[in-house]
Amino acid sequence: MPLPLNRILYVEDEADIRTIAKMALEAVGGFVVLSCASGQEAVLAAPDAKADLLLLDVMMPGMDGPATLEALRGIPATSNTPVIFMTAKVQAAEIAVYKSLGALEVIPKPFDPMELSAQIKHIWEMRN
Amino acid sequence: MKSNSFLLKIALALLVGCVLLVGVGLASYASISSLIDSANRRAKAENTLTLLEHTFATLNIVDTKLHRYMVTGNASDREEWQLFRDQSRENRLQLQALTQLPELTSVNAIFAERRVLAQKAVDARNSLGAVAALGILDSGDFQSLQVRGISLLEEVRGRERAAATGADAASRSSALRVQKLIIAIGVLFLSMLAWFVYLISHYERARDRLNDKLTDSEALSRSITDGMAEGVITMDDQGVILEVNHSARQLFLYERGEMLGRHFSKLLRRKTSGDLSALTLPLDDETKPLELADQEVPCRRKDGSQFLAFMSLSKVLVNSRTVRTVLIQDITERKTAADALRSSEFLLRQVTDTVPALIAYLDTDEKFGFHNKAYEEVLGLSFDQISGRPLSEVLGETAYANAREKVQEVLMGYVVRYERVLLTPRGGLRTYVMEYFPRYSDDASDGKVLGFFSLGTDITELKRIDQMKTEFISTVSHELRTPLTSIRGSLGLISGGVAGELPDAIKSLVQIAKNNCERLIRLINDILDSEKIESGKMQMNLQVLDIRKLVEQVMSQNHGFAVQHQVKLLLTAQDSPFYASVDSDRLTQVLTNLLSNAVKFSPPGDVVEIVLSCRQDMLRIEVVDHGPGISEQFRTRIFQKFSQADSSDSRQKGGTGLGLNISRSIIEKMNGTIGFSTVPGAGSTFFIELLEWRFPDPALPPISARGTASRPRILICEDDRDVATLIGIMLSKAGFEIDTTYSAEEALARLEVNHYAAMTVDINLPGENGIAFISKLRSTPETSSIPIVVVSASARDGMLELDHRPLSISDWLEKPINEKVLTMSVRRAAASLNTLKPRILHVEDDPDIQHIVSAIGKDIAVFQFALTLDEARARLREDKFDLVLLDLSLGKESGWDLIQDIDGLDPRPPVIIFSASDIDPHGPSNANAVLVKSQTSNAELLRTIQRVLDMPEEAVSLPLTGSQ
Repeated sequence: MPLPLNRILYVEDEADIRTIAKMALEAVGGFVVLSCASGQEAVLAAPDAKADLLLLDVMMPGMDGPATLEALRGIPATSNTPVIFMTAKVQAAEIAVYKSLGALEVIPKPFDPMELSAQIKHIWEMRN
Repeated sequence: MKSNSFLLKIALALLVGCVLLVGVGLASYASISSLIDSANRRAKAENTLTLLEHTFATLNIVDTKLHRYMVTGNASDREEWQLFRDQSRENRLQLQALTQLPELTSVNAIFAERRVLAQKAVDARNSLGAVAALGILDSGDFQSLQVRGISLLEEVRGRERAAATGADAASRSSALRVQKLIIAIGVLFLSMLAWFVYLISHYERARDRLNDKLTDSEALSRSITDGMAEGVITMDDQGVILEVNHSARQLFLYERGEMLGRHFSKLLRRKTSGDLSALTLPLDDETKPLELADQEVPCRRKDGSQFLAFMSLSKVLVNSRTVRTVLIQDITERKTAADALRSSEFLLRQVTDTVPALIAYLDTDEKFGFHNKAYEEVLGLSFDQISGRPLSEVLGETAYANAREKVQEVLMGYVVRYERVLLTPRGGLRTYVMEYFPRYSDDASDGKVLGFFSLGTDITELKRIDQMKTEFISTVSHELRTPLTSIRGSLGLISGGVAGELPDAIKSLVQIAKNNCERLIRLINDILDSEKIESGKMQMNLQVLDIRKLVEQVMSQNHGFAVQHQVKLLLTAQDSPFYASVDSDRLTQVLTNLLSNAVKFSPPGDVVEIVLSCRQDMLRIEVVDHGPGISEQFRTRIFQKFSQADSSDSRQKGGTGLGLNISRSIIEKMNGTIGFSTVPGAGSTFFIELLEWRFPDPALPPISARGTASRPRILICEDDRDVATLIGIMLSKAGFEIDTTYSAEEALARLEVNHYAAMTVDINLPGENGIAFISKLRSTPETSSIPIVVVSASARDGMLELDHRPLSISDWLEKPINEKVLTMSVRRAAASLNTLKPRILHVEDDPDIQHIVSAIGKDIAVFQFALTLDEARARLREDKFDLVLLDLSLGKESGWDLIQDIDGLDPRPPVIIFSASDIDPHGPSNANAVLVKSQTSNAELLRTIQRVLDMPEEAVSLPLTGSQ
């Protein structure tokens, strides 16, 4: 029986995008979204987030997406949580790098807010 | 020989003729002698007969005269009688003298007696009268004497007559014989004459033939010498020219007549250095050898111009006369060519020395046949330290170890390209792209590699700029996308009603903003695509696909867009798959572009038709609309960048003006064509043509005995026949000999009889677990080292499962198969069998880490794995390793325990500790390097391995993942 997707830990440094994505995921997809502005914030939030999925932006100042993932993997609560990256860098080689880091999928930016939830649900179902 | 037999024939004929002539002559002589003899005898007999007749007559007259005297007694009658008596006696005496017959002596005696009686009678007449005298005469004595004498004479006459007759006959037969002999002589003479005539005519003919032959051979030798490119001049022992050939005349610009009889020295330059006496001086000493072989001689033409010639001199004895023949070759051109070659060599040298690239040529012994100055400068070596030296010596053993595999590859006939970091003498690190091009022998069918050209281009700067550009594009696209993400997101949420229902006016305004936002995103995407195409970075991931399915997918993706424009999409195609080798994402992009164009330009309520057809190996996808068509002015520019029918279009239709330009590049990269036809006012048809993929006959390719060096043999083990065929085609194309098997059993059977450079294995084989199959291969001595490339739809899963066992796999490839990746992997695998890559034993209980490390280091080393200490010990016993990479915490065991075993090995392989934990300070410290997993980057690990293995740190591209 596949795990239902409910809680998403979302890390994005751009406040506007963070707001929109959170809104889109909550309003359209009905997910519970815990959004963080940086990797550090996510690391702090992770132990109590009970996240089913990590949704990470790649390009962030300081800790970038992969670094954030590495840090989150060090936290028991998120050591095995599936991850999806979101990136504006859509070059094939880069996508391959993120997938090699264990990402389920890479969602390119800009995303369609009305489709985003469906896209994530689809990836989630495919994983199972 | 022939003339001898001719002489012999003549001599024989003469001999035979002479013998016959002598014989016939002798016979004639004898016959003529006998003829003469017969004539003589006959003449004698006739004389005798005449005399006899005369004697008979005189005898009668004597008797008559006697009797008359007896009667008359006249003295005159007596005198007459006396006269005839004496005459008669004279006759008899003559006869006797003539014939010497004894009978005549008797006759003479008789007639002497009778004369005595007659004298008595005469005396008696005178003295006794006529009667007495007649009495005496009529006495018997006188008469009987007469009878006896006459009878004797008649006997003689008879005999003489017979003799005359005999002589006559003899002379007639002699005459006859002589006649025959004369005829014989005549015949003989005539036949001899005929024979001589025949011989002479024969001789004449033979002489004519000989003369013809002589003329022919003379013409032949003349044509040969005339045909020679070299000048040939023959001169006598005094140096006077006897004959010249055509080339000689052309060389010296003389007519033949002008040259004959001249002295050879006239053809030479007056002042010459060097000894040319052999050419010009009279030959005084016959035994002195002519010392002029291929000497450069300055010559002079008729017009005074000069040229250099090679001359070689030979002398021949012709009719006891020494003749010199000079072979003359104009070497002006050759000298010019040699000079030109020297100057072009100089130029080449200058060019290659000026170019800042490393240029070299190496032979199959890997020795430098040519190198340019850049080589010397970059390596800090002198000319002599490179020229003719082997590559291993020039690069140094360690650097050579990295190049060796590439060198082997190029010598096998492959073009090789790789990057190499070189430490310059000034201490800087430069990155070079090294390209090796095989040089084949001139004989095209031979295909033998004679050596290779090496071209090294310094790309350090290029790499830096390329890196900058990549970063710039990446940054710009990110920087533009970030605000766009917000805008699009906001607009999307608003128009999606997330923020509540909107009045229609606002809704339409938001829609406009959203559409333009989408357009901006498309523009950025298209610009990025254009940039990729221009920089050649657009990679095609070609796979054989059913185009019909792909077209259907694209249609369903664009369904919404079509509905929005009130246009229907309609597919017309045969109900069969259409296969082509394409990049599915890129073809989707192109079809989407064509479809959206067609939809945008179609009037509402219309139909856009997609027609799929296949004709003569060409697959054709047509997108037909019934829009306004394309104006004539625009047709030529339609595939150009930023081209739109009119500037208002882009705003109206929301296009970027890059779509068709990108589409064309993509289709051309897939070896297809794109085009259109249009009727203004009636619509346009855009079409794509792609080569239809033909699945070849699945019949097994014939088994060849053994692969060759230039075509290594690969065994394919794959249960899906189509995939097997596809792999076979790809590998054949890449220059491999292939054998295909469809099951593990079949593969094992083939492996028993053949040798393979490598094999590909599908791990989902029917009836047998692929992993078990590979294990079986590895445990069989014959196949334990065969390089294996795993090609499987589930390569990732298999990899994890397999890594629990120490099986070395050259590469893992996932289906669908990428041709380039496959050929590269197989090529690398095939080459690895022969390479002397260092072998590393990785002792590690985490299969993921094993996999990552082998992916990092697979270009520089061959990895073997051990999960436990026991396994590691077993491996160390079985095999020799150049390095041990050791994890310290192996479950309950400690890696330290292995160190003792390693210390006991001879030679002892170096050890790198690669562990998650920090080192126990009390542990033994005889490890060559210590790395902590979480603190070590991939590059650092690689560098450490290279350093410990004493390898130069080459720019090995770090694999991002082992399972792309």
